[in-house]
Amino acid sequence: MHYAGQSAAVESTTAFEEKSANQFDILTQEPVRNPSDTVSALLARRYYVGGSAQISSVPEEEALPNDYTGHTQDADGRAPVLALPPPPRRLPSPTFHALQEWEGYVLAIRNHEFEARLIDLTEGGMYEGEEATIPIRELSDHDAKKLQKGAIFRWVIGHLNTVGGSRKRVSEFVFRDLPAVTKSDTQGGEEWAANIFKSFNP
Amino acid sequence: MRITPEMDTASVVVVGHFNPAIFTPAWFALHELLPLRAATNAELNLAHPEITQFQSDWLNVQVTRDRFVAQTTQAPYIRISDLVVRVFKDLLPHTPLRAFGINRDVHFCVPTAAERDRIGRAVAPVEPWGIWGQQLGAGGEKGGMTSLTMTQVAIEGRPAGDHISVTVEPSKRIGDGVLGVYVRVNDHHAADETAGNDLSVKLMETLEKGFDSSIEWGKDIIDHVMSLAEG
Repeated sequence: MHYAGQSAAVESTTAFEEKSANQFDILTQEPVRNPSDTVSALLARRYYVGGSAQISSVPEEEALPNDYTGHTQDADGRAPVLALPPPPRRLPSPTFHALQEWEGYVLAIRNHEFEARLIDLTEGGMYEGEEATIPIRELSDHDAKKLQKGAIFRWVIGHLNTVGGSRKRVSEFVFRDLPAVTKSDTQGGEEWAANIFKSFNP
Repeated sequence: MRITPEMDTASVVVVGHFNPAIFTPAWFALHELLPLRAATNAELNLAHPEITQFQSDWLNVQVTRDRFVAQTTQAPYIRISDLVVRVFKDLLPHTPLRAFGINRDVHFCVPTAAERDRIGRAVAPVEPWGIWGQQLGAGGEKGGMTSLTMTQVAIEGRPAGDHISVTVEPSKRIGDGVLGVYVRVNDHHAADETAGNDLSVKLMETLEKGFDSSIEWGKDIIDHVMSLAEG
């Protein structure tokens, strides 16, 4: 594996300068002083060549297909919109990497704690295999408001990589914000129930 | 994963027709998709009829006329799926959607350059490149793989337009250009044209049901790439 992006000796000889290492999305690179100009540039699909003021069209091969749903490596998870000269480096976001993850639902709530049944997602569990008593103080204010019997949550224990480079072991509870149940959602269950009913009454 | 990544992100990219101006932190707070405090403290970079982009707490959002991107670097990743499904299934069900992708992007470091080169050589051996391949050297110091993407199409049990792509590259973000490895997994779901008028809702149901397994599957692929560094 070879990365030549930081070596002047292997400067790209393609028609357009390669994006610099660790390039971020234009929209997060620097304060947007004039949003209208940025958007105009987006609409015109302009492309700066070699750091000079020369402007040309985005080459066909660099244009993303209309239905592209992926990312490019240097887009920092945000859609690449247009390429501009290298920006000042921006610190990355903190990363919370899960080592262990459970999905749980609330069985009962007491004064300072709640009981929950858990499925170990890390082990690929499909059924509740564990029960836990969890202090309510472990929840954020936002999640504590969602605490009710039957509520579904995720519990993650993992490594938090801070922007400063340190790594901490962190436990976090997040109550899920599930969409409303629709007719389509219940249809599968109804079909299943109908089949079971039919098997008893052939 | 056998190596804890330095950077680990998950995202959902939805392709369709959107009105970017409405997707502000205040709108997400109004519909209780974000806590009010998080919305108030959001870093709003741009809100415009053509593009909106903000970062709030665990969430990054960027919306253009044809793409809606929700991304996070913080587990549990199910939050972005829940958010996208609530937006396009509950709140804006008539938004025309064409496709969505579940993405996992990981940057990890290996202890030595030799181990990183082992990954490169495993997925892209130099022998088939003949004499020129020999000139690339044994240790990667004279060149090697810079980007490789493998794509699976015609996936059993899924619509014809679906595909899964995995890309391996040297990381541009970590490891000083020597030790970092970048792996991207894109699980692309196209609208099933046979679904009739409910294309968008069907897509969101697919996302709702398939997000966890897609993320888990992507993790396994990334872990396998990590394993290639071991001798």
